Amino acid sequence: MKIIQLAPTLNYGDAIGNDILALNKLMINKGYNTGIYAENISDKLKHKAYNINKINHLKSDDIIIYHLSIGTNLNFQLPKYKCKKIVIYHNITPPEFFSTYDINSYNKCKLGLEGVKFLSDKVDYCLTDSEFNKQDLINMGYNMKIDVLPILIPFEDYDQPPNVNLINKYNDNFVNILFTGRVVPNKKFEDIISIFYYYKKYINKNSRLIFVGSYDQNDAYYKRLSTFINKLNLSDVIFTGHINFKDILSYYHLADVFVCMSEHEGFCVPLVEAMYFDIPIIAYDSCAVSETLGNSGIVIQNKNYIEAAELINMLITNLELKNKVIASQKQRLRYFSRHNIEDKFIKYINEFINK
Amino acid sequence: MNIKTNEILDIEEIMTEIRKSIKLRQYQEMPIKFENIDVITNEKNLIYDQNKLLTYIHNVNSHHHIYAYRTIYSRKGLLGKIIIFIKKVLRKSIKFYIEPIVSDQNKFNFEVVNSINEIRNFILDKNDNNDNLNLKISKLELKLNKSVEKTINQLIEDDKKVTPQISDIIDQLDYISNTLKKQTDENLYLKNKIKLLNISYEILEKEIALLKNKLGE
Repeated sequence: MKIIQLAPTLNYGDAIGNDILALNKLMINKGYNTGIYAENISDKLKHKAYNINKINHLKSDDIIIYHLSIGTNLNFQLPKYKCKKIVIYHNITPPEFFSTYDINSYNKCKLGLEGVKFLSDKVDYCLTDSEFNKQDLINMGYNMKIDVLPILIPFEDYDQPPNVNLINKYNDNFVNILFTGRVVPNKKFEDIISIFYYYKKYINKNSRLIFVGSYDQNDAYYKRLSTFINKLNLSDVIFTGHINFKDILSYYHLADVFVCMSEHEGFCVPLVEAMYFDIPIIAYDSCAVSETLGNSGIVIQNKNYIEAAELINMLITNLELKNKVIASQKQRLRYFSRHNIEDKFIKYINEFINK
Repeated sequence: MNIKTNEILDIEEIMTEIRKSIKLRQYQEMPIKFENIDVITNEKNLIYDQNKLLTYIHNVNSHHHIYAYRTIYSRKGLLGKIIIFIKKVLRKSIKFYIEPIVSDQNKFNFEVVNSINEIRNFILDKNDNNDNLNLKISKLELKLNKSVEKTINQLIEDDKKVTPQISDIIDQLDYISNTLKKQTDENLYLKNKIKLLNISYEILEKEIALLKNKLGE
């Protein structure tokens, strides 16, 4: 019996790519006959996965684990594989977020949702990153068994040494406010910039806002953010773009506060990363964000930029509060331990095989 | 700002601290909001939203006229009065220059707004036409589908009638074919028998001829 993972894209460094690789490693260690297949494989991972065309004849008791996260024709071709199918649903960004900026992304997300609905009666079992994602599937007509399995995060990778030169560059008396994520409209970068505006102008001019995540200079949303920053005469806002892992680690080491104002997340791996690096988190209560945080961090339920700026200041200056928040995050982090998630995955897979 | 209830944190205390700090800092509103920043995108990257278009045109119609004269005021008490006086003098001195410019601008704005309104009317008119055409197409498609469905059903009915008949014909053809085959086999048998008889006859004729010769001797 083979259990293979299938995805439209296997990217180096993104949460889903890392999840696929971690699950693959786990299944190999447990002795399963497994492999990774994808339509598009980034160069750095060409040795870890096969092109989808290489899928050999699958028998009826073989299993495909399909990672569903984007709009692609592959979503509609999945039924052609005459074997058992498990979908791991990572959520599709609602297309409305892109309607003002980019019709291609809008259409891609729309296609993605159509693909999710198409598969509602064509798969055997589902895993989702969060209860929020599970509910999404139920709302789209999925009535088979669905279990929640948080993304498997390789925490041991975060213990690697960071880029010391980068740390030295920004390790000054500035307060570093961090957010990690691709520069896309649903992550609401403008809200973080607005909060930072008040924090820098009225509370602490020695502060820096760092956005770690890829962006396209020609993208309409990024241009709008740049214009916004310029019109506010706001300095010390850094967009790192796509950077290597060591540099990402450096920014986590430098950060004093992690701020997330995203309005759509299926899980939000950066929140867990911030927890790992003991960075106190302020996050807006939306979608799966408060579920991922559990009872940790500080979750705000409406966006008042001035009050949020003051909250950042409290976390920086009130050590007792900061330590309480970090302690709550450390507690929550245990739920995402590799051991815990791996055990869940193996349990779910064995239950599915044996049913 | 509402903070989600948390067993570990005293939300009330946090909010009290925040409100105290806000009072002390005398915040002012941001000079510009994100929603007021234009989106610069490729022509084909936008999705057309008619409601937005009509709202913008409505705003343009309401605000296209520029007023050359604005109220001059100051909050600075006695000094303010002097400032107001100086500003009024300045305003009067450049009136000859500003008013024609503002007038020209208003004429231009008026023409542009009228053009936009005409374009709006054109778009709405075309949309209505498109809606009517789409309705007509839908009705025709429905009619066509019904007609095709009727024809298909008729063909199915005819097929139901014809199929047994064809089946009969096939059976009969099979029977004829078998009969012909039998006949052909019989013919072949008879032919062979005739051949054998011919051979026997030839042999007999030869024997008779021999006997005749013997008798003749």
